[in-house]
Amino acid sequence: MRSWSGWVIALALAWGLAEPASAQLDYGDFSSATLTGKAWSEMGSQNYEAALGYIAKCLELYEAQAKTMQAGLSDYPPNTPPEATSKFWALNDVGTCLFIRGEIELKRGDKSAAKATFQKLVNELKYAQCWDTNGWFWKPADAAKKKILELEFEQP
Amino acid sequence: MAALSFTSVAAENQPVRTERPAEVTLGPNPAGDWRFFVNGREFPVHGAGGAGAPGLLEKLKEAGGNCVRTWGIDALEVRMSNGDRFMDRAHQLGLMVVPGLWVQHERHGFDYSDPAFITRQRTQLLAQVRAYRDHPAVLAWGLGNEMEGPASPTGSVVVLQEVEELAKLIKQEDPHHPVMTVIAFTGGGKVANLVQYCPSIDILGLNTYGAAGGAGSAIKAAGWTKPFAITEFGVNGFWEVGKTDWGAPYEPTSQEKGRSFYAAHRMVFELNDGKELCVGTFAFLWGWKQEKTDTWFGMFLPTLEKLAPVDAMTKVWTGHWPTNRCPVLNALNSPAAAKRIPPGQEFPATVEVEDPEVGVRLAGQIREYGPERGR
Repeated sequence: MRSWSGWVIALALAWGLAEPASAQLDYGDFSSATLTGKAWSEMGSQNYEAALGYIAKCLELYEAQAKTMQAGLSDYPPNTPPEATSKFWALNDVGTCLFIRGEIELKRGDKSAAKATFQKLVNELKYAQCWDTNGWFWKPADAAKKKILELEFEQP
Repeated sequence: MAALSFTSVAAENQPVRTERPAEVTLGPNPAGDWRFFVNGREFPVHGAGGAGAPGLLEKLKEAGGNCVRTWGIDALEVRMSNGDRFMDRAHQLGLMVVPGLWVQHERHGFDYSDPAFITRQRTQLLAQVRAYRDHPAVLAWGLGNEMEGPASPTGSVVVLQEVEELAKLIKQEDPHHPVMTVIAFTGGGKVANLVQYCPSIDILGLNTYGAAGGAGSAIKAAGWTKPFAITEFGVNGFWEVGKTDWGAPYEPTSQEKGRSFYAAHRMVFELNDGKELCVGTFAFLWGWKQEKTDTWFGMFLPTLEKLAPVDAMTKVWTGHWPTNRCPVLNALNSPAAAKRIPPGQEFPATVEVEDPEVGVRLAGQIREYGPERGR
């Protein structure tokens, strides 16, 4: 017989499944920087559903602009001084969001989804750059290329 | 010049007597990628550092490796499992060697403004070159290892100037082998200084871990136009990973390490910008050692059992996975993981392991971590 606490957990799970994650999210000022920052933070706390919600919103609002920015580039734009990259805010934030999404998919064991996300980043937003709080820029598409190779290493 | 003679065994097991060094040149292959050419044949470096314990050279050959790097000259004299010297055993197996010529570090108290020290070091290194320059297994000289100052953003200029003098002297003593110098790759400033102060260096060796995949484009951006090799790479360094709240770095699993080796080699040697300058890589470490932990860098256990990075290098060197791949540790979970726990209390741990070929025997050890002891 199911215990009382078991029913509470089951109900809570059912409620969680029925309620879309987006309804519980605080998008703040809806800027790409805010959404990307929240996605990082939620992934760090292993709140993957919330992170994916912020990422989905960022893509919904800014992916088209990111692709337009990418289309105007033939190389990485200058990143010194760091503020120079702010002109490409949508490209940088949406690219970073795709990288976070791939990481979450990996952490959840969905390797084929992760590979597809990383490949999308490499194919569509390869000149995105992301500021590392240690004091330099890193390149999400390069990191994604590495992740794709790492996935090849898995057992066949 | 003392004439040295060597007896080696060719691939067909026919004894071959050779008293000549291999003919080694550097140049672009038909695809425009820089390569070594040994006796006229293209020689992409499928290398590893170490292999100093008996049995490891054979394992390197078996995995598809073709070259081994040492840090000092003493390693060449170590006796291998069949009783031969390291250098001769490597040659018997058809492996080339980059002998390390150890250049002293300022951080170890050596004073590069002291003429007596400079003379002594030059004399020692040139004697080492004379002793081995005619050995047919020598591919190139590895002049120094991180002597410029591992953490320095630019490298010590006085040391780099002496590296240049040493390179010129080595070339006078042995015009038949290229000279490579090896630095800890910490950014473009160091590379720019090498361009300026070390024009006699033929190959730039880079010890780099988390940044290995992008090293080619980074050194090009810093002005390097000659060939380079990745002289140490593999797993992310313990300085490049997250830490517990008491400062212990999270060591990747063997599977994660294997992925890093595989991806880093392919990125720097096959895919990324700068690959055209890359003559090959040396995986670190073909063996085992205590550095931060007992297992961080080693690609083998002391029992000579291979770990996942060996599978990774076998794949990139040969194009095939080994017949028996290492077991995969998918997860190791415990409520005690990365937490401060009271002594004497029991905690469960679960391990998810798979090995489709031969099954798995599980054994566990708990090691004390103490930064003061580097572990």
